[in-house]
Amino acid sequence: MVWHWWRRRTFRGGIFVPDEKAATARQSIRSFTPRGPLLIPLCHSQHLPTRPIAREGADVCCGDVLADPDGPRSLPVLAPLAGRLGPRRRAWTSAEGWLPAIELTPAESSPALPTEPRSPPRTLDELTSLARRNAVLIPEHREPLHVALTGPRPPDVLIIDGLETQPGLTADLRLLVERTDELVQTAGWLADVQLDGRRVFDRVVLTLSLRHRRLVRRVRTLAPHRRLEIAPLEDKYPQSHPTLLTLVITRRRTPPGGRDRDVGVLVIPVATLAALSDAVSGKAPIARVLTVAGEAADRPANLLVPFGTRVSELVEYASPARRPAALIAGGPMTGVRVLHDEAVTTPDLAGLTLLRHTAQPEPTTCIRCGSCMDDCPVGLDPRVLVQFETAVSLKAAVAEQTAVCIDCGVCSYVCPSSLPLALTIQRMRRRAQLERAALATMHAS
Amino acid sequence: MTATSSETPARPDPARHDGPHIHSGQTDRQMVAAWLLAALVISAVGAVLFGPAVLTIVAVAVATAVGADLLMRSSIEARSGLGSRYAALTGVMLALTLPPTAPWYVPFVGALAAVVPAIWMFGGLGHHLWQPALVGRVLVQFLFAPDLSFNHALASGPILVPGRMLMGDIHNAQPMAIGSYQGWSRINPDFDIDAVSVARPIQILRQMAAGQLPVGRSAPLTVAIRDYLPPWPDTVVGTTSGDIGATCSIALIVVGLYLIYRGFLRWQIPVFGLLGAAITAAVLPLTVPESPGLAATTRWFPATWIEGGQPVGLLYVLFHLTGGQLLLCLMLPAGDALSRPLLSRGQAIFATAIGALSVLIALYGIGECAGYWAVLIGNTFVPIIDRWTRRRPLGLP
Repeated sequence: MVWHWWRRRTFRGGIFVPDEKAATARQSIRSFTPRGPLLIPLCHSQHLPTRPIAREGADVCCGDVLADPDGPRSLPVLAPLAGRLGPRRRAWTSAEGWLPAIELTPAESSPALPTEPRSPPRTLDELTSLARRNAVLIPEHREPLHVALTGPRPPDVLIIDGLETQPGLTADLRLLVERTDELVQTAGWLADVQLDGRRVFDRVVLTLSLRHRRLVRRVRTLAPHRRLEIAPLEDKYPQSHPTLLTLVITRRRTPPGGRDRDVGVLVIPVATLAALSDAVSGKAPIARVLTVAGEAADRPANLLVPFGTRVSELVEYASPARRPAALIAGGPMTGVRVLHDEAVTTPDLAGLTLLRHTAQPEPTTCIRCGSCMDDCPVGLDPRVLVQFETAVSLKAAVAEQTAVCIDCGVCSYVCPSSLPLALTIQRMRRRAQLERAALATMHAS
Repeated sequence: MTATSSETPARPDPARHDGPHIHSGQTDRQMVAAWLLAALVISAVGAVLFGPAVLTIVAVAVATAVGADLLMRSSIEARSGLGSRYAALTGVMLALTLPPTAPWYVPFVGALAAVVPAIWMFGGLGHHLWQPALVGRVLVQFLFAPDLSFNHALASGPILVPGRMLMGDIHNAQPMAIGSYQGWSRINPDFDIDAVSVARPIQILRQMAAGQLPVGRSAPLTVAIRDYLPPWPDTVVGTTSGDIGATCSIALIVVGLYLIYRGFLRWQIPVFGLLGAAITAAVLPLTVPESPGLAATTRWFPATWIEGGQPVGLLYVLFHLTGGQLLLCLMLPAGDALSRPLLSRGQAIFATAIGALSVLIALYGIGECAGYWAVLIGNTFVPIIDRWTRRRPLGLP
């Protein structure tokens, strides 16, 4: 009965993209040992400043602090492997672009990881300090978990997203399959975290794909008490976007330009839950699971990769014979093209997609077929919206609509005339932000 | 735009996204190719039913449409990925809506009208309001009405006799006396003729609504169906008179299912169109003619009529669904991706209106283009329907 109740929960629009997950869905996670030097970014984001304490030539152990947090929001940076530090360089990350980094040449033999299991956090303070010490990061906005938990409007609903609707990515699925007990237990602890004697979260929801029936059954059996809700959802793209999970699970509507936190919801992917689970069991946060897949990958795999590993090493692993025509950091729908040799893995990178073709079909003219409007998950009409791009100044209504867009890329994907709708809307949103900022400066002076 | 609650930027730097890096692979060319295939299948069926004259009509219509399109393109330097494919589709669709006895200049003028004013003078593909092929069709109906009715008899048209299909000359036809026609399969082929001229089902129904059909008072529908209308299976298989593409309901349904399977037609259009037509036909009144001592009476709800224990009213509704241009209109011109409403909700409203209007015009209107006028009227309301069914962006009032 519950099954059917959830089954109906979905949103209007969205599409069933061929999920391309067969190549890696049944492959267990293997750990990847980088051979060349690592390039470790010395901060997680430009908005999270750090004070680097690492010096060139020093020998470090696995888990040693390389940079201290600068400010209450920031996170420390830890050494992912034992080895010798090299010169300061810069590294390219898919989410932030160029960041200051330090080279680390891994030692011949890395000593076994020291683990010191801790007791699970019972209060919000314990949870935030644990998350901060272990540099737990929410990938969606590269926001530290401890900041998300203590903002001006603390979330009362926690959604753990195990859907992973992006085609080709299976890292979260493999984590759920291989570490089910542990992850469900951690989710149970999160549901019990208290502040001043009251539970922090009214609801803790774990979303899974309807199609993975055995996984759903297993998680249901393991769920320690009734406070962890299991929500099997249709894996219609882009269901795992926080805005749409918030809408489907809580029926709360995210304001334009806002995000899940503005309506009191916190959405974290399974990877973040796994990082938290590692923190409780005392493992240092040094690696994450990545899916390396795509049509050009001869050896697609789910790999446990230390942070700071060069992306080119992973490409060499997956496609030793030939270079892929295009390398995408993330999934093929919302990922970012990697164009630099200094690209490295970060805590928010969920996978790499190796493509054989870069050429997109040539854009022609709109024939008013309505596909973009029909499939838009947030109810926009991209066909009409992009017509305002040539306007001298964007009207408030248009600017507001561009802010509603969640960058899922469905409109461009389905457009039979292959118009770059998603990119145009993104450009318009950027322009609207600049125009607003310019206006604010004018009024201020 | 609402301010966000924390200091970090609300979204990742917009310039960071450059996706999607994959495409569905479904292009406008494939879409038009599927429609073209569907229309060509129907015209092949028409060629079997009405003979080689059909091929001439299709060829003239397509050649004229493509030629006119190329001319317009070169004169205004329009850019489109579709090339002249859509014009070719318009040509075939126009041919499907013409009667098989139309002389060559009818498709020529019709295709010119369809491409030059109806597509290009509106601003090209995606900007026109009315389905171009149907604009051409109703225009030639005004210009060449005598040429379009066979032997100047409005209510009838020719059909090839058994044994002469595919090769017979449709113009070498002999009129069948009303009351003696037992159905296409019972025609006794005469060696001298290739075709017989039989009544158009919709014209018979229109006479019945006006009370002009001498059917008596006791069992009017039974008499009309037995003596004046062709057997109902003939209208399903297509062996009855009518426009080239409009008679064979089976082929139209198959083609519609193919387009639905390919995702280029939504099921809402045929289903709601048939539903709208069936309900309208079930409700709208027929006139029982006067008889000695009794005046003519108008009776509503013909679908509920039971005569001699038989539910003939339901059969009457079925004649409305398969006997005219309704199925052709629903499967091809109404579903045309360039002139239908954008969302499926709007398409359901649109199709229901088309079904209802086509029955209304067939029963109480004039002329032979009931279904085509219904689609054109429906097209007129597409912008309003789109406004009614507009989606609300998430988080906006």
